This record gives sequence, structure tokens and C-alpha cells, in this order.
Amino acid sequence: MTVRLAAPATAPGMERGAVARERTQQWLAIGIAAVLVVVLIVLPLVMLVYGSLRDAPPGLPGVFTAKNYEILREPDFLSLVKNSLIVTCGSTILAMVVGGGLAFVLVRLRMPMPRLLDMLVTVPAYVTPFIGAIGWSLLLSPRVGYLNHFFELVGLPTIDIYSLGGMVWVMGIYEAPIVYLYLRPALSRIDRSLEEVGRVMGASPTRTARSIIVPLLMPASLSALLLCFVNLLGQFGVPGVLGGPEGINVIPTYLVTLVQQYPVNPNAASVLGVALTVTTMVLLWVSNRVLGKRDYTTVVGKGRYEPGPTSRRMRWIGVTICLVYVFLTEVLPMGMMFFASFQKVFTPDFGRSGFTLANYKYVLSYPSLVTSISNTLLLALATAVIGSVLALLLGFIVVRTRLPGRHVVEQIAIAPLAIPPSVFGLALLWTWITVPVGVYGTLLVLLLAYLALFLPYTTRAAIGAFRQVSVDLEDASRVLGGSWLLTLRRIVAPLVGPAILGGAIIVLYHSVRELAASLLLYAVGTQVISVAIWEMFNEGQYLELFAMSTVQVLIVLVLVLVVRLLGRRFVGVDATDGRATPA
Amino acid sequence: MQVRTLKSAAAMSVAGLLALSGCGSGGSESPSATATGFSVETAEQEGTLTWYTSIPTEASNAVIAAFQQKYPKVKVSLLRSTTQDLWQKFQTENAARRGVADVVGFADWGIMNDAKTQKLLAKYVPDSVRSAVDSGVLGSDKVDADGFYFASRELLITIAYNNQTVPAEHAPKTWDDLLDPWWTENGHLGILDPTKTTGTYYAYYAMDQAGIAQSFFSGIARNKHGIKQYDQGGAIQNALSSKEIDAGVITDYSVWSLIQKGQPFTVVYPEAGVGGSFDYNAVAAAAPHPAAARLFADYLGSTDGSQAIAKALNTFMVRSDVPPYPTGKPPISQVKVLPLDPTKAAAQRDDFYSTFKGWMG
Repeated sequence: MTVRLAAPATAPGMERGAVARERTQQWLAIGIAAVLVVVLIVLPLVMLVYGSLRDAPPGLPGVFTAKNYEILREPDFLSLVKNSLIVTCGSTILAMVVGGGLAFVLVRLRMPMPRLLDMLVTVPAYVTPFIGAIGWSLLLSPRVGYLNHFFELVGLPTIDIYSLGGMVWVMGIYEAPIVYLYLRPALSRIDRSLEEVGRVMGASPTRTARSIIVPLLMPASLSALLLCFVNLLGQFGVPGVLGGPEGINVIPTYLVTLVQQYPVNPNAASVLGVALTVTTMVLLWVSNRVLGKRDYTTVVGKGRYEPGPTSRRMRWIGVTICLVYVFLTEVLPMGMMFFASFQKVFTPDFGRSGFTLANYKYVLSYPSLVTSISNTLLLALATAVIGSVLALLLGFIVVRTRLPGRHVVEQIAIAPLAIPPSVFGLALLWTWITVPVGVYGTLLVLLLAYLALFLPYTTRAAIGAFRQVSVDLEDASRVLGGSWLLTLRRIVAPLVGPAILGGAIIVLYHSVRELAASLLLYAVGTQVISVAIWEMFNEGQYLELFAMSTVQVLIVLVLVLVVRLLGRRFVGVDATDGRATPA
Repeated sequence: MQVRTLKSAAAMSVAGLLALSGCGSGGSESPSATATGFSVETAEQEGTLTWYTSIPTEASNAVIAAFQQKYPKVKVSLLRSTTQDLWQKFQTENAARRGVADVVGFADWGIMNDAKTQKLLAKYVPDSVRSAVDSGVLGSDKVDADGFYFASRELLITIAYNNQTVPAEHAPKTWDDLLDPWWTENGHLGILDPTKTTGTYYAYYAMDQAGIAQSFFSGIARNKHGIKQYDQGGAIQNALSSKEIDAGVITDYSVWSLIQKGQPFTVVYPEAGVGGSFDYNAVAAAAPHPAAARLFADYLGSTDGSQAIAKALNTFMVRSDVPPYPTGKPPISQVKVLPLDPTKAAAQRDDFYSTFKGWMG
């Protein structure tokens, strides 16, 4: 078995001993990467299947049984599937339409203040979606929602947010920025000359769009569609907030209920987890087959589409679309929560509620909430840094070696895209309870969850970057006597660094907003912000929750701004989403 | 006359247990090293403990603050969640052999008994509880017959309504009032979901045993606007606060706390009786800080601790020497609490869930 590395193993000036030492280093690196991927991803999934076949909770004596799988035949399960499909399909369509529309407007039209608008429309991607759900429940609660009052005043029918439709609305609009982030680089990369050729050859704008733009956008669109579908199918927070009063469950909320109800039934929950994961894996596989070898994801752009002249009317339409979106996802729901965060008592009557800063004082002084803020930042940073190093290694192995099985490693590393966080949380419960080595109950178990769940983002960024960087530079370093590690550190890392940094930034945002896996894995002292907010929601501490949500949104905004500034200044990356700025 | 028993043999067993352990005399509330196998000094040396409880965070913190005023050298870490979630975490941590909890509080007899059966609890009855039983301040049926746990507070499920949205002439006084045409046509009602909030289950079960539940729940299920079932106490409180519902079947203490904060609500204890359950406390078998855990459990069972809980939470306590909070709340002796056999209730949980689902359509 040979590993083809950046340079021939017999580079001039290399002694036999050095070659052997280098081989050992490479194998060691590959070994470490493989072990990490197995421990992070494969082991928990195996344990999930194991859990689905046991008749006792993790850590307790039990026997193997297939009886748990009978849950898949129960009428309640079919109703769960129905609800999940309605909510997921509906919100995916909404997210595609809204996100696609935003991408079109911001890339294809010459807009005023494009960077500001770009930043504003991406903010919802970084906020825990269930905060949006709570905000919208204030607006569209059937009897007392502020918007419903307005609808009544103007003679329109009121809307009940506690419904499948309500979930579709909230999940769809808060997922739209993900679609936008996927389609924007794809749209940017379309060479305008191709369209111009089409037009010169006499094709109408519609025909040009159909024959040139749509096929070029297809891989990114399908990729965004799939990612959205998988994300939304696994979403827990929004259905948890909006489904509660009407007893509407989807698969992830029921899964968590099975783990937290009495008597606990993590075995049946594992069956749901296995079913959900198999479904999403099959979807990923089908998508890979459909897209063939086309790289269907991108966090790295090659260039930027320069929009042609845009009429004043179109510019206004474009700006209006962006601002309406920002109004509906940020200003309206979060503004309501912001104002309510100063109430003395929770009431729809702001005149009666009084004004107080006590809720902020509470969240900023209560020890476990302060801890949750530091835990969140620590975990996000650690996940981003460790995930990046691992991605660098994986990218190198997948692209720069011919090691048999490297594509299996790649597939495993990106598999968590298809694993809903609640399922992965459950899988880690099974793993680290069955293997009692002191991981469960610590921040480490949360770190393992985050690393695995978000590894695909950095790995795909790294693989994409390695494929774009010519191997010649590495060869040159090796020919000049640079060791493998030196080449990796001095040549490869700086070249692929910006792309990996882009992936790492996405990881940072995802880590800050993660809820479902954290909820199953947190213990005393390891709470994170989203769990603290969720517990406040459960406890009915709405006013404190509004204050805490405001704090979380502010943290995210500060992160976005800092990362943008640092990214642009030091590594030339438009770092909100890792898009490389044109050279 | 109300009958509230844990187990028929509980009283005798506890009396026997107390006699065997040779303590329970004196009525002192200070933990005694000889009786309990720990000392305040040891607890202070441990310096910390972790408390799992379903008591809302704000109230739990007030209790902790009161405890620390007495024992400033012992720090208390809090994990507040629902009883079901706490049980899942407690069980999981023990299975992972990484016991974190020192003192656990579960508002569900079945769960506490499961913990005992799975050997997750330490056999420990605090001095304060023993002396309360001796002096007649606490019924011996509030202490586990085998000496693993004791009840501290009583959670009642009652009716509460918003004075601003319910006209005085339709203000409910009985369960049946909520079945009147005004309510079925105009009233928006919410109830606690018994499958999600464990204390609620026991209350509804007691109502069923008293012959109240079936007619009431199947009656309100005909409400024109439908019945919202909330899976958390906080959610139904906020629904009442936001006027999303006019009345709710809800834990009484939570509404008293809202009234204390200025909300225009009324709590009704129907004459036919209300169901309830107890919140139980125990020291974990794998408690990392056994002495501090015992000290804290002792405090929770004492007059001071009970008073701190009652004051912070506006809940009824099982000790008769703790007055009701807040001002205006009737003493529990004026409330008809329906009898409950928790053993039977715990055994019939799944059947009851199906029956209840049938009532609610």
C-alpha cells in the first residue's frame, strides 16, 4: 500500500531514514484522523443502533430485542411522520423561495449598501430558531397576539401560530439564510459572458435563464434543498415551542419526550433516531448520485458576479424585499421580545407592565446563566479550532493521498450533515454511559457532540480548498528539501487556511445556537445559553428569557461583526460565511 | 375528612424505624452527628453540594440563600428542571457511574420509589424530619417506610382564572361551573397535560378516584375553542398572564406567586375537592458530598427550610407548623384534598393515560 503525498518519497536530499520517519509521521497522522472520526462519529452511531436493540436504558442490564422497532408500526408514529413531512416539506419550500429570492436580489441586482443588506439578511442564520418561535408566538398567539389584534382591526382573519402552518412559517423564514448562503456563491460564480453569449445568439432572457442559469445553479440548489430538508426534518426547538399547547409532535420532539418522559424510553427513542438517520442518509446518497461528481457545496467562491445596470425601480423592489425579510425575522419578533424584556410582569398590556431592568440584572448576575455564557463561548471556540485542525488533516488525506478508503473517511466525516442533533445527542448518551470513562456529564461530551455535528462544514471547506490549490507548490517545497510537516505547516496551511477559517466561522455560529443535542447532554455546570433559554421557557420565566435572548442575539451580532472585521483585515475572507474575497 | 396516605403501613414502619435507630427524641432541629452519621463541620469541609429539584429557579435560589445564611461555608449548585428530566439525568449519571447529585427532589412518588428500588438513594431520614414526626408536626405517612425519602411540600391542582377576562357572574367556584354554557361557548381553557407533568397525573388520578375527573374532563373537551394542554407549568402560567386562556387547571402555588406579583387572578379550591401530590426529597446514594447532602436534606425538612420554601414558592408545606404564604391564602385545613394512594396511582399510570386521552377526544 502506498501513500502518494505531495512529493515523491525519494525527494533529492532525503536519506532513507528520513523517508522512513516521514512515512511513520504520515501514517500516524492518518491513524489519528481515522481514530478521531471513528470515535466522534462511527462509535456513537453504532451505539445508537445498539440502544435501539436493547430492552433497558443505557448502563442498565438488559437483553437484545427487536421489539422496540414495533413503534414504527404504531398509528402514533404514522401521525408523527405525517406531521414531520408536512412541516419539513412546507418549510423547505418556503426557505428555498425566500432564500433564493434574497440571493437573486443581492447578487444579480446592483443594490445600495450591499454589504450591510447582506449582513442583515444572514443574521437569522446565527440565532437559535426557537427564539424566533417565541417571538412569533407573541405576535400570532390566537387570542392575544399583537399582529392578530391588528388583523382583527383591519377585518382580516386571525392566525394561530400554534399549528403546523405556524411551524412551517417560522422554520421556513429562519432557514432561508442557509439557502441564501448556499446560492449566493453559486450565483456569484456564474460567468456573465455566458449569458451575454446566449443573448447575442438571440435567446430571450427567459430562455437564457432556462438554458444557462438554471443548469448552472442546479447543483447548488439541490444541495441547498437537501441540506434544508435534513436540517428542518431534525429541528427540535421550533416544533417544541409551537407544538406544545396543541399537542402537535414531530419526530425530534417525540424523540426527546421519549428520553425525558417517565418512564424513560431511550430504546424507542433510538429506533426513531435510527429511522430518521437512515432516511436522511438515503437522501444524501441519492443527492450524491444525482449530482454525480459535481462539488455540490461551496463555502469558497472563485470570483464575484458583477451585476449589470439595475433600474431604480428594481433596486427599490430589491431593497424592499430585503428589508421586509429583516423586519419579519428580526425587527418584529425580536423587537417585541426586547420591549417585553423590560416588563415587571408578563402581560400583553404594556401600559400596565411597568419598566424594569431587573430581568437583565437577573440574567447577568445569576451564576449558572453566567456560566452558560462562558460555556457557550468556550465550546464554540474549541469546536471551531479543533474542527479546523481535524479538517486540515482530513482534507490532506482525502485530496493529497491515494490511501485506499480515504473516500470512506470523507463520507464518514460529512455524514453528520444527515444526523439530526437530537439523535446524535442520544447516540452520545448511549456511548458515554455504556463506556463509563468519565466523559458523560462534562463539557467534553458537549465538545464531542459539537465536533462531530459540525465537522462536515470545516471538512468540506478543507477538501474544496485542497482541490483548488495546485500540488506544484507543495512539490516545490519538497524538492527544496522541506519536510512533510514543514510543507503542511508553511505551504498548505496558509493556502487552504482562509477556506478552513470560513468553515470554522460557520461552526462558531452553529455552536452558539445548538440546542437539541446539548439539551440531552448537559449536566450541572455544563449548561449552554440555548439550554438556559429553553429551561426558562419551560419554567415560564418569559421575561428573563426575553432578556437572555437579547443577550444571545447581541453576542451573536458582536461575533459576526468582530469576525467580519478580523477576517477581512487579516486573511482576506469575508468571514460571515467564509466567502473568499476576490483577489 | 381527608385521607392522604403514602402507604397504609407507613406510619407503623416509620415509628419502628425511628425506634430502631434510637432517635427522634428531643424535637431539636439541629442535625446531630451521632444520630445521622455526619457533622456540620464535615459538611463545611466538603463545602459544596448539588441539588436537583423541580422547584422553579427563582424560588430554589431563595431557599439556597436562606440555607447559606445559616451555613455560609456550604455552597449549593442547582440543577432545576422538570421531575421527569431530572430523573432521566439522575438515572443516566448513575448508570455512567458519575453521580453528580447530592440531594434530589422528585414531585412524583413513582419516580422516587423507582430511585429507591434501583438503589440510587441513601437510607437517611433527617433529624428535623424525625423530630417533626415525633412532635406531631409531620404525619409519619410523609416519610418513606424504609427511611429513604420524605415529603416536604404539597402540590395541589386547582382552578385559577383571570379576573379581567371572566365576568364576575361567570367566575367558577366548582369544577362543574367550567362546563356551563358560558364557558363552553366563550371561555378559553387550558389544563396541564398529565402525561408531561408528573404531579398533575397524581392529582387527576385522585380526581378520578373521587368520581370527579370523567365528567369534568370529557365535559370541558366539548369547549368550542378546544382545550389547550400545556406540558409545563410555566407555559400555562404565561397563557393565563397573556390572556390567551381565561382559566386554567393549574398548580395553586404558581398562581399565588403570580397574584403576589400583581396579576389579577383568583385561585379556586372547589368544595368537591382538589387532587394533589407531594414533592419528595432524598440524599443520593452516590452523593459526592454525603455530609453536605445530609445537612441540606436536614434543612429542607426543618421548620426553617420549609418556611423558606413556602415563602419563596407560596406552596403548602407538609409540616403543620409552617403557615400558608402569601397573605390571603387559606390554610390547607380549609381545603378539601382528595385522598390518594400513590402506590396504586403509580401502578395504573399507563391505563390512566389512555383513559384520559379518551376523555379529551
